[in-house]
Amino acid sequence: MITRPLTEPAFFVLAALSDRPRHGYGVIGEVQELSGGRVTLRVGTLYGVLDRLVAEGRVELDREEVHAGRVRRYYRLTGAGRTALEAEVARQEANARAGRARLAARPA
Amino acid sequence: MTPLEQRYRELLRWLPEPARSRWADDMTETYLSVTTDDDPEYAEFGSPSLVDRLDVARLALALRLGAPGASVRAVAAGRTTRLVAAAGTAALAGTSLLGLVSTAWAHDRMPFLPAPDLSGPLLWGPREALLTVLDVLTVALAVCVVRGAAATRLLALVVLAGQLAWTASLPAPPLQLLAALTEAVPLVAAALLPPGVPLRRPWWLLGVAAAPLVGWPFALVPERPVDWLAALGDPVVAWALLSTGAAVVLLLRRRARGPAELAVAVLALATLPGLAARWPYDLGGHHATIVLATVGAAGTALVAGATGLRALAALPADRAPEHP
Repeated sequence: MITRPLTEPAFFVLAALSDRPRHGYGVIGEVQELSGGRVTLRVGTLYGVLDRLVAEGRVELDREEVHAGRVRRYYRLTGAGRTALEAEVARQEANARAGRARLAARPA
Repeated sequence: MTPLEQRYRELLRWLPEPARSRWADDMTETYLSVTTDDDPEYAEFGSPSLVDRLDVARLALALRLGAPGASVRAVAAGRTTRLVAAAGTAALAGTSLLGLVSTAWAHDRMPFLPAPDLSGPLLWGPREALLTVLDVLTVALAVCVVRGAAATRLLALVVLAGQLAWTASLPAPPLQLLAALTEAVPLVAAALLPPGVPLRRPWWLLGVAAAPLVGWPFALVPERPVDWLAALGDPVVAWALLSTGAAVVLLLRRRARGPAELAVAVLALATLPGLAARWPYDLGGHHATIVLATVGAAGTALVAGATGLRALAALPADRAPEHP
């Protein structure tokens, strides 16, 4: 089956959830760190992406905790989410290898 | 609940159901964590920033136009917008292409076709240059809409701004502005389209683009045998009659699906200002055709619109299935 490449925000959200469950604010901070400060997710963008990833079965609710009197939800990666992330990493690595090989070849 | 939390909850009412029920509580918590970090003073007097408002408005619009996670009705609304954008920009691209060919012909730039014998000097200034650029961009926009290109939104806004600037430079702005409304509707629809979804089986759009060509031969003949037929060469008249014909075909189907009927209604409605702008002029035999087209477009907008809305209201309000 041909799977579409992940969008950059979806890739970083899956990557942010790959080591442990995180809440929305935690995902935003982790994405910023993973991307070296290049990608700052707006809250609306994050939940648009989360909504899609939950619908696709790649992310699911882990638990709810009470923080400052409000409920905070933690999300975790599913098996399908890990597979999608691994496939995307492999795709990007293959692209990088091909690009690097071309750059290493001296122009005729 | 702090006043700031209350303000964020009010802002998140912009989100359509069922997304609002799923995410509003958690989004509020995340917004408060991002903005206040539990600063009591900000929690009392702060309010969502303009960027937050635009962020929620963007998500709400995307969900209402059928973004992943949206309801079945929102997906249908998104399809309607896509059809309006595709058919509307194809229609505009048809006349733009005709304009480009005419300009090239007048400037003797057509191979194997001698330039027409004009009675006076050929007008060429900034306005004509702007119109030519807009024609090229309009054709490019129609291609972008069909292919679901990322540049669609920006290109639609550029063409819209260019059309408005060109209209404002004309001698009779009120009437011209009315006519420009007809062209603005598909451009606005194109500006709202989420990128990345190419149109399947787009060949029918060639017929839409070629619609004004049907009456073109009648307009070119110097001694017109039937004057009212020449009005078919007017693109707005052709679009109005085409939308009426499309509505008849759709309404003869056994079951209305919603988006197609609504799109035809919106496009028929869009032709009304353009037709109204032609009413004050004494156009001889054309007038009967313009009256007929106006009545047809108004009836199409009403009947197809009501049918489409009824079909849309009958759809379930829950989440649409994913189509990977």
